[in-house]
Amino acid sequence: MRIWSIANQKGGVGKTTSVVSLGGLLAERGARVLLIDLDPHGSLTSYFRYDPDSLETSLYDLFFNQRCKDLDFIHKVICPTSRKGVDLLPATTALATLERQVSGQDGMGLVLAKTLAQLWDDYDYALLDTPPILGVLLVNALAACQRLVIPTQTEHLALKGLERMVHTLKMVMSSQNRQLPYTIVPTLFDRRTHASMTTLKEMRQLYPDHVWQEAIPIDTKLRDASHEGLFPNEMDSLSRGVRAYRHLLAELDQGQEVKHERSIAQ
Amino acid sequence: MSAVSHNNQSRIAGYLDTLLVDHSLWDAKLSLAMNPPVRPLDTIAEGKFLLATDRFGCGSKTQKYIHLLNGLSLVRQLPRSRLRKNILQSCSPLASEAVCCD
Repeated sequence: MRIWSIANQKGGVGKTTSVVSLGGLLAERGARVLLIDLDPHGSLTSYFRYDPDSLETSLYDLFFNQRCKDLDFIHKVICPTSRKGVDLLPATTALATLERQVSGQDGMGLVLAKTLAQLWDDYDYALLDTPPILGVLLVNALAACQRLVIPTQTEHLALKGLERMVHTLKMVMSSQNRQLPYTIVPTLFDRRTHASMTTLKEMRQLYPDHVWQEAIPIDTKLRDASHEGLFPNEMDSLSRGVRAYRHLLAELDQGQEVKHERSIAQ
Repeated sequence: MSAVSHNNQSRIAGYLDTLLVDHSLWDAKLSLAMNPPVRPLDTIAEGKFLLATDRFGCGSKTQKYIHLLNGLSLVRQLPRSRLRKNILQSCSPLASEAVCCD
């Protein structure tokens, strides 16, 4: 299994869109994909027409009573999506209370890694959609993944969120004593605007080795797909946004990832 | 880019170290310590053995020692209490010594 976290400590940068777009493209190749919603807002869960307010079970339940090691229970939590081969580990709004309940307890940042260890042979890829704040859920995502993808809106304020994200990543790497490769993905790019152009330039100057050489453009087709609850490549496989995500996937797939054996997480 | 203040840095470091401590790792080390290998190279003095440790955490040294002790099964079985706190404090030099043997 390959595990990628899609994260940024700023909201509205295209995290959920990136997870759904990459997930749909992986499924197009025949890969078995698990999408995981770690955001209490439940945007990814809502995308597939599940209600984060009314679901009985979710990722939340795996944090208690060692359920993250109970494969039967984990399978009960996982929901199908509109596309065969892509499943969803959904969020419920109860996730918002998790910080208060478990954050002082040792080892609570490793729950998702243990969960994925149970599912190691069931999926080829796991894509993690994360909340935009530093907390137990984001730490779980960073601790479990082999690669971090940081979507960053091409506007000036987004650079601060990017700086925070990279700093958090470095601290998690230090705490776990391991290296985690990361790719910064410029998003919502509009070449007609001065702000987009200058921010992209600045991003490349600040993180020359980590910024993807292309950018995800603003594309209303991505929004339309969300409205319909479809994967963007099902909606329009040749749209500008989907083509850009296809290039990104090719780039990410070539990348070297840290060895993160199943046994580490168990 | 702006620098993160020392206070913020140390708070976040302690938070991350708590969330990411892996008890199974430390339990394995305890097991090794309680059943020391018989290889002569591992013996530093009669009755004393090297306890290999890994670097863990991005917080202060004290934080690391406490994590080491928290990870030891016997201490971990105690409920959170003044007694447990006292044990942790009194064992701190031992933990320090163990870490220094790394």
